[in-house]
Amino acid sequence: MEAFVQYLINGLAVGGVFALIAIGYVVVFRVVRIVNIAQGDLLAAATLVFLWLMNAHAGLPAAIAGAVAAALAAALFVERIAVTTGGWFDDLRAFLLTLAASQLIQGALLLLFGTQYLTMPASAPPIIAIGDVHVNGVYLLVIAIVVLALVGLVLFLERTPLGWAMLATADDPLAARLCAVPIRTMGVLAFAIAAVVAGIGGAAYGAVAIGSWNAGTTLSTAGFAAAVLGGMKNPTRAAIGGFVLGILQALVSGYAASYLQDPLTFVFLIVVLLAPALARRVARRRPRRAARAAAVAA
Amino acid sequence: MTARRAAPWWLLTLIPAIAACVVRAPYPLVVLGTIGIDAIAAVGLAITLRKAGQPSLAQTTFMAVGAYTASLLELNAHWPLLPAGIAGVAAAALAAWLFGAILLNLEGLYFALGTLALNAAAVAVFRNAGVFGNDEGLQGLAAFHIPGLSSDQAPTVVAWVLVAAGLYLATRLDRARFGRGLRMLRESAKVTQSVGFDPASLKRSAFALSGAYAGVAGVLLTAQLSVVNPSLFSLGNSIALVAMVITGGESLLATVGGAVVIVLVHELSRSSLQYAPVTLVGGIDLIVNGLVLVVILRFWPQGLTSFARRRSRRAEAPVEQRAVAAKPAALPVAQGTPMLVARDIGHRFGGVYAVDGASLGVGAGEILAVIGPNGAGKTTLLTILGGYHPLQRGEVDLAGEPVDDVAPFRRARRGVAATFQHMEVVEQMSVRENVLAAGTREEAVAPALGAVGLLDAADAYVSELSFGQQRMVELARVLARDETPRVLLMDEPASGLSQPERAVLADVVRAFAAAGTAVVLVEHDVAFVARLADRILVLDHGVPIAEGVPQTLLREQVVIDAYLGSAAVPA
Repeated sequence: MEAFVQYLINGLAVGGVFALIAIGYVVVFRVVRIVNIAQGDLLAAATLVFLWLMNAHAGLPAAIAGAVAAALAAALFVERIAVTTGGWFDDLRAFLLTLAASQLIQGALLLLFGTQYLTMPASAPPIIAIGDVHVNGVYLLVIAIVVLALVGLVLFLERTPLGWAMLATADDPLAARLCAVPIRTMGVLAFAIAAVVAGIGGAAYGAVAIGSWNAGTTLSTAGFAAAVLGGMKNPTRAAIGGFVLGILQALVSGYAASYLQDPLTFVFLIVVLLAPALARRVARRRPRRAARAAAVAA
Repeated sequence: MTARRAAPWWLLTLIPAIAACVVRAPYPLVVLGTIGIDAIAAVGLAITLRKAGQPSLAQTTFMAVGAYTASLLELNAHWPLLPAGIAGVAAAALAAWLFGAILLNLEGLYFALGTLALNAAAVAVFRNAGVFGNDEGLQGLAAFHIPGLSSDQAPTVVAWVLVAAGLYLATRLDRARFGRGLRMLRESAKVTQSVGFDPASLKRSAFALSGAYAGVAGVLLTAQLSVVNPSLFSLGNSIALVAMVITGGESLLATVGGAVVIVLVHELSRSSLQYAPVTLVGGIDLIVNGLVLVVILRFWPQGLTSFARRRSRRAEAPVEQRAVAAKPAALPVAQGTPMLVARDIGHRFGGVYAVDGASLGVGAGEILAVIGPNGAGKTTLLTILGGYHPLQRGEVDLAGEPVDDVAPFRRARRGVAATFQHMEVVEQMSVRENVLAAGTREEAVAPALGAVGLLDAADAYVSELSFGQQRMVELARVLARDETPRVLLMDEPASGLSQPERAVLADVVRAFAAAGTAVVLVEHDVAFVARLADRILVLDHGVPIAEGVPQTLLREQVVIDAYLGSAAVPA
């Protein structure tokens, strides 16, 4: 039981990070219609910078600021590469450009940090007792931060004029432009928001996991799988997808083997992508002619 | 147009094979071999990416399946080189077929991301499951032994011979029925089905085929390096393969050129860092990989060959100019036998009924016209009869057998032909290829084109024809079928046609009816219909309101009201 609760809390913390990546996808996809596969690499960059600063005893605020700054720099770089001045174009080409950006970021991280894994500096974690289960307080803190970031983002999008301008760009770029919304700026802003979210997520991920130059690909696919559950459009459902996937992964690595996390992400993605079509097909199926005739006769 | 056969340009790739027999220095041989191996994988990827339009990022995963299978069979079961290699290729093709069955349900970008997730999952398994030897990997296949060649030369020579073989196979398939089906599918799933192809099976076969190419590349790679480990099959290498295919554009030979350029760029950057630390080499390699893709996509998104494509149209045997206009062969059925019967068809989009309780029957040799004002549900009804919309309500019989849940391509194989309202012709194929796609007989093409007056345009791209001529291509496609269709469904075939073209259309439709085909045609032009049809069915708001022979039906008040609106009712 104690192990199960521990896995659950672990899963919630990592799942929260997936949720933040998923929201990064959703914001960028809605505004510029690009699937930014480098989203996980933004987070990996933030994680490494955060852990490097923590190990250099720069202090928590400076480390978080550094993480956000690193993600921001990486995101603006991706934006420069993937969004051309022409605006919306062939989605596959844009996707491949973000994939190229992902390779560039991973290369840069490898040059800067090498192949070593970074972790939090050793210190006694605050243990909180819930009933007879002892929980690492850092995990609870991470979950709280993630939820706060999620709520903040949704409020920003739905309650502020800038958020409305972004949503307008998302719904109809042409109409938004006619209403004097600078849509290219909105696109940059979308990447910036995705970066801030990734920066916070990177710090959170660094607190509960390890930082490495190539963590991005795994994080990107996990975050994308979560975002698909929200139809690439709905941040709340994308976040739920992140938490569900995080918990599933924690359970699989707890009870089976940790390397099965990536295969699990693949299965999760396939199920999420294909389940709706399958359900529709089942729902549409009419009774066959013989069955109908029997029903009429009865 | 000359009768020159297309040059066997794939033979060019034998030049590196010959060169490898002469060169003795190990490093150039390894680089040349790597290029050949990547070229094989890239040509395979081009089949899914370019021909079938499915961007796969899992090509290195299927290379890994081939490499690990061959190595494990040799290490553990002591299989000799050749059977182990063949088993590796088969395993890769099978894996691609199986994962294709799942992943090919996804479209475009989602397919790309699904294959990316598959790649990440596979790398995790290869790195961690003990049987695959973890990060260190396994000892690869024993080196090739070819008499007279050194152990460095042999794999390189074999690789380039296989490049040539792979190109030859790919071009042959491209011109075969399979290749035409794939190219049609890229532009329109509907037309592909209408001539009897199963789109799902086409895509799966193409994916399995590129998996087989990947398997060959994977097996060669382990034989060349005598080692197999997960880092050989990383996402980065899949991305490099995609870059090679994009560089190649539509041409497979240019894809090999892409492999040459991209492998050389990587090798140059690596050799300039010969004594640098591993992380520096790895980091630079990733950056080079990313930069190559950025440069290609930003500056040559259509590939290097896109400029030359139109001019290098390949010459084929000329169409026989004195061809006799095609006449459909008579069907072995008595005129009037019920061929297509639909009862109580209902179909709704959301809450709106497009068709609500329509029934019709048409016999062999009969021409039934369905008319009605805009939005009457004519096209929807025809689409249901062809099977392109799943049947929601009602029953459809084809020659006395129920076909309610039969897929469009199966109906096409059972004798249902169709032409579409929004003309479905494949613009990036020649007229000849469009027509040939309907059947298997080359000799049927010329008569079919003769019948619609398009003999002179046989080798033109369909995109170069006028609207009316494109419609005629659709008509010729029906004429060139291997067997006379039992049912012909035509959606507004006369719209946009000139008077002479209408006459040709009417002649062709009558010829089909005379041969025993049951024709259902939806048409706006009432005068055209009145001269051609045996019977007319009038739809309004998805409900049949009248049916009968043209002469009397068109005078009925209810029909006139539906078309022109009824007189205002005095209050």
